[in-house]
Amino acid sequence: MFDQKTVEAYKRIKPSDELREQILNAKPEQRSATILTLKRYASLAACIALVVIVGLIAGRGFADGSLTVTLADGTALSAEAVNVYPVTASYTGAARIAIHTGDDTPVYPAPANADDCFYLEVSSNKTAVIKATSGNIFMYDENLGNYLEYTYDAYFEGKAKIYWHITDMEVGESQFLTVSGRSKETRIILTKTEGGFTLSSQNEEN
Amino acid sequence: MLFFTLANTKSEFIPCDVAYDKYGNMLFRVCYSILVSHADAEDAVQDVFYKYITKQPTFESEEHLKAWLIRVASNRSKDILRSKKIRSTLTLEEADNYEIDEDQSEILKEVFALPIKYREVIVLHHLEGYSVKEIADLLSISESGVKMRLSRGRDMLKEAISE
Repeated sequence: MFDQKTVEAYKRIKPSDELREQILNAKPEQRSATILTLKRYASLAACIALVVIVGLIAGRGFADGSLTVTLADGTALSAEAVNVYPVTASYTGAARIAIHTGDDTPVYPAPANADDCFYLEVSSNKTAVIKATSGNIFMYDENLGNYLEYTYDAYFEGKAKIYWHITDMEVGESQFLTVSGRSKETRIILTKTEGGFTLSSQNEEN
Repeated sequence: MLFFTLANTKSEFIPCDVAYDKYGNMLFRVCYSILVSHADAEDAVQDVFYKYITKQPTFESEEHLKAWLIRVASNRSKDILRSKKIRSTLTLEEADNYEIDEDQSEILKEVFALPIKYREVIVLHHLEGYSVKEIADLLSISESGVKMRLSRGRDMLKEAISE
């Protein structure tokens, strides 16, 4: 598969001739920029430390973020596993609707490759981040009116509609989504069974 | 005696121009394989050497230096990718507009279309020549994890090529 032609084609990938000069000529400015940056960070760190100290003295901690995870029909995930089905997408005129094979709850809109996705709605009153141990996350962006694909961390605040695209699971295998807020973390567990898939969740304090 | 022993084992900071001339092209290829963009890869390489210049790290051997540079390049490239919020789902036609040169082999084009976690191990092993153990150290994953990703990546390439 990886013959000499392929390796040679790969080795032909090179930067522009100017890159070397840009890197080497940038040194003096970057050194002074580093000193300026360090001073700036030192001032910022001092301000942050002051805010933290005042906050602690006042005796009030930060409000805990609440995290909830629900299926399309509003069922909240819990430690008890529920049967779930990957989404199948269908089209109605110009719209694209994702229909769950299990309960036919329509979800609109859907990303182009909604098939093989599991749909979830997550909400957090503070900024939270979603990470997957496998697969990709599609999260709906209100401003774009479309889904963006995240290979790594997906940040959100408020309510988020997500499609978790994951394939190639073996029977008995589990994969995880972690939704982390400031002080709480919810772990979503997707397990492939003989009959299909199940979802459950575990809550932890950070 | 102790002074001379210490002097002989003292590692020195390798000048930036020497490090770039030796590893710059390789680092660019690593960044490009993640970003598939000449402009973004050049930005990533610049950031790598900026970090190298400001931290001025010293290493026991050139192999350690090389590993450090690759690790920084890989992480920086993934940071750039993350900050760009990987593109909304692409159609096949849009995916073909990635900066893939005409003279690149068909297999290479399919490699750059792989998901990143498979792409990077395929590139490091089959194109840059790193062993499974070296890749595991570079990416901070287990050797079995590297083998699994290599196997899965090769399967995906075979499927793509046979279509």
